[in-house]
Amino acid sequence: MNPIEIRGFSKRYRLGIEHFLKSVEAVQAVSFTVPEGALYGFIGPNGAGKSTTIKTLMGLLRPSSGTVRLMGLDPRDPASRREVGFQPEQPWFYDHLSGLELLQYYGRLAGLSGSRLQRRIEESCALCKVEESWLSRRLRTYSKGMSQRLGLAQAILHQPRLLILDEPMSGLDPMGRRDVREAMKTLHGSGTTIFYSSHVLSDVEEVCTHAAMLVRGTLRVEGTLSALLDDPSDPGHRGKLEDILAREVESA
Amino acid sequence: MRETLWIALASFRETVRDKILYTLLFFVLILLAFSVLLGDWSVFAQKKVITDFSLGVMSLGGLAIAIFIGVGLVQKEIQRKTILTLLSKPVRRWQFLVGKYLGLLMVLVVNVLVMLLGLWAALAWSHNDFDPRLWLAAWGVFLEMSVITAVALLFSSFSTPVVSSLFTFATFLASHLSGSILDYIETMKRNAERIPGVQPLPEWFEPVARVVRRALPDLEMFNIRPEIVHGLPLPPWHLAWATLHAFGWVVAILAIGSWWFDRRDFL
Repeated sequence: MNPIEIRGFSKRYRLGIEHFLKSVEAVQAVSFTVPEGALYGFIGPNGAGKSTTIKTLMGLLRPSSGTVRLMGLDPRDPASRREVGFQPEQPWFYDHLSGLELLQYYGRLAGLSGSRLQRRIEESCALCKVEESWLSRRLRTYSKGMSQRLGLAQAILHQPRLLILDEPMSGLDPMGRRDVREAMKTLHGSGTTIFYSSHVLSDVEEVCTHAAMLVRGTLRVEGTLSALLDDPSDPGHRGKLEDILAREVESA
Repeated sequence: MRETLWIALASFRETVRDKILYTLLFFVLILLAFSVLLGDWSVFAQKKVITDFSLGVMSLGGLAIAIFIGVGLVQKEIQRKTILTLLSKPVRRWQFLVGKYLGLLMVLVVNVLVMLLGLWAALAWSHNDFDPRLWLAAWGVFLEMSVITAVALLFSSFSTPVVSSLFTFATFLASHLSGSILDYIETMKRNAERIPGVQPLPEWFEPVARVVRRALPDLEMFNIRPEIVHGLPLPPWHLAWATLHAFGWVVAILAIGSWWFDRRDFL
């Protein structure tokens, strides 16, 4: 079973009540599959429809047409999310909670309890470089970088088979980006399938096994990274995602 | 079901750490203290005045908490986008809504107890006994607030905080007044028959008032203040029936809210 399967997925948004009959198509007939064990980069310029696709995968949005399958199930079925970890684009958390309370809360909702929850909090924080001293602090005092790391830690608490990350490196300094990249590599090495969206194409080139490119709501290229970057007219020459993106944006 | 409980406990913790709760509670306690002064001025009916005023304050204080906090609980999750992470867990949307509701219900229990303690202190200060039947009156206040909180949550699941607050307050008023309006219509009908010159109300008035009466919970059913304050007997099974009435309405309102919540998109 492929962790993610999307067939002919489209999403239309209504433009407010005054334009009830008008709608804009954010994603149009997108189809792709994320195979088990892949580290899949989901790239494209702002407004391409990446977050819409990810939110539909997490059951937060309903597709206007097409089918979306998460772990073989409808994403709106909670069972589909049992083995999935998710970090939204902006890790918004509860101001009134401390870092530890937040992890305990999300861990319990993911089905963890007792000593296993405690152990997983320690392991997840270690992997995401969340310092112990941060955990007793209220979340309103966290910087963007600290929140991003905690966001990743909460997503991996229950050792998901599939990890979906929406711009996990946004707002991080170079050290933070490196740490998140390393954490992703470690998780992927231990068998976790990772699907993540990013603007940072060099990161995708460095860590991903597969990639898909979305431009103005349509899927432009998709496949293994080596197939995308290898130039068939010039064997041995490896291209850049940046050039492909520029070409696709121009032709879109 | 465990997920609902965790959400309820988190919701309870969120509310008890919210400054607005203490601001509201502070005003309620000030008003309860004021009831002692009112009691002193009334001289002969001191206990009745303190009890009546305090129960009224408890009811309005509970209403303020249900509206200001109830409306904000779900809206804050949507506006701050914390709902995105929460609903990515294996949680059903109705569990989220019911968990939020139960969390606020726990807050209301604590608040009613604190307010009851305030009433006990006011009575003790003025050398009056605490009538054990005040527990029944407090239960009535709690039932009323449990219905109003469900209404607040329902409106906040699809509307802005300001609109939700207005709708909830309008529901509170209409639910209390619909019975009186029907009584008024009956009186006017009788008067129009008996007294020459009295104009009857328009014909559409009565069916509309009856529909409103049926479509809204009967909040007056939970008001047993007159019986408690004046030492009158309560009709047998009244509170049991009122509890069932509240439970039925809460289940119906939360079911509608969950149905709607299940269909909406979260951007």
